[in-house]
Amino acid sequence: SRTPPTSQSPCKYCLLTHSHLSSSDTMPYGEKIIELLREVKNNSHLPSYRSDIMTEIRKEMLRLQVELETTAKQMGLDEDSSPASEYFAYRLALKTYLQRNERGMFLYLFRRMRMILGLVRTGEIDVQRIAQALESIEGGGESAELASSEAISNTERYYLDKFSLAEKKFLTEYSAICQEFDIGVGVNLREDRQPPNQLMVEVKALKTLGTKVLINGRQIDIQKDHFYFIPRQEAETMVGRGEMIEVTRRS
Amino acid sequence: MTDNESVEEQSPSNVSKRNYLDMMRDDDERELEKEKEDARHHRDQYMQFRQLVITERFCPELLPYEDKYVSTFKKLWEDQEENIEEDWGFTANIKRLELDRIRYLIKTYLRIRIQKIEEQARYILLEYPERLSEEEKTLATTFLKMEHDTYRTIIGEHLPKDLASLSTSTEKSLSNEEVERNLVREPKFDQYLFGRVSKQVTIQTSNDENPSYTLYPKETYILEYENIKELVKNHDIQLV
Repeated sequence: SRTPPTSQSPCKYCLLTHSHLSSSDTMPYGEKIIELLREVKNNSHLPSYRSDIMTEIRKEMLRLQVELETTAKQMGLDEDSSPASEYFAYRLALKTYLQRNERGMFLYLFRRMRMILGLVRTGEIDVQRIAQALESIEGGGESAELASSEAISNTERYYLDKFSLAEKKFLTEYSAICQEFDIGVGVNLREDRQPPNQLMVEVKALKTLGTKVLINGRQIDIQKDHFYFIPRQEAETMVGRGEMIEVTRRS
Repeated sequence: MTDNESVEEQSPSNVSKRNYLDMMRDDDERELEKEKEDARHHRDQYMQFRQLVITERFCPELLPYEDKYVSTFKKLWEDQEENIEEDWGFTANIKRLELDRIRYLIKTYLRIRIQKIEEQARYILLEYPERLSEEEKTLATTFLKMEHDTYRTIIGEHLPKDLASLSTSTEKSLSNEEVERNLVREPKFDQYLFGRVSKQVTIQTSNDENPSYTLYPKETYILEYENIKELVKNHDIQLV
């Protein structure tokens, strides 16, 4: 990889001294965006939103823009310099880095959005619970934190910290359009994600919930670490909320 | 049978009672026959709908919305649920399991379509918006706008001002419509899929060596989707 120009040593490509560059600019152009894209390509789990790296990439793009303008002024060049010019390759390289950063940022956001929607589709996060938790946090009040901690599962709380502000806003609006769709069609698409192979399932309670009346009219007292045999529909909702876990016995 | 009995059987009241009983029996048989016919019809419809869901799952583009099946099964499911609501006996539980399967099928179908709409919203709204139901159209337009706004917000935050738009710096000379067209993500039509034909069909291809070939019923083939688009849409080929 080529050594970027510093304020002391002239750039070997254009023989200019770049006094506008700071001494901390040691990483070659276009490397930070590659590091960012590698995070979302290799991870099967959604990584945290890297606003720090995005800010650094923005600074790099500003530097590239300034570099292009400075070069043009110093050389007396127009925006479209002739290919025969010895500085054409250098300016082309700078423009390519600028475009790569720009496209890389779009790709990073696009891949994150796809991963988030994938989590919603598989049911790992319930978009309506997340939206309610976000609204209660925004609403403030003493019980906001408590309300959000009881309403969402551990998985959802884990992912909530990884979203950017814009992504959280997107999820809130997305939950609204999903709800509108469900009402229009007359089904609840958050339920029945697995094929129904049994009517009743055995579950273990992860929390004490007290007395509950099930859809079959039976009344049960749910205590932590106790086992129950309940209708599958009921179990699906409680397992999704993290209140119970399905027991699967292998013979 | 004695003469007295034969006289009694042939008396007017007994003849009318016999006719009445025969009529009742005929009515019962007719009703039973009708129920069997309905059950057969619903079973055939269920198998057809199940195949449609599988085809939709494997097809790279969105197929037309099957409102006929969705509304029929939703109505069946709602009616049956009312009948067995309070009953938790053995037969009712079997019916309940069947209802759960129908419900799962309908929801799977809708979820598959929503996933395709989210991935190809711009393309679907440009090329074939008539394949969407009313609710799906609303979802597609709102989702597209939301996605656009989210990218614009984040990009505006992080990109230098004169670069902060959804067109890249190379597209600044293009019109808005051309930029929009560049943003469209098309489905992958060149992929190969497994398909089964219900009747003999001839497929035309763009290959000079094999310009056409014939597919025979009940056989499974590996086919390029580009050549069988119309046949899949008309349900002549089912994807497996």
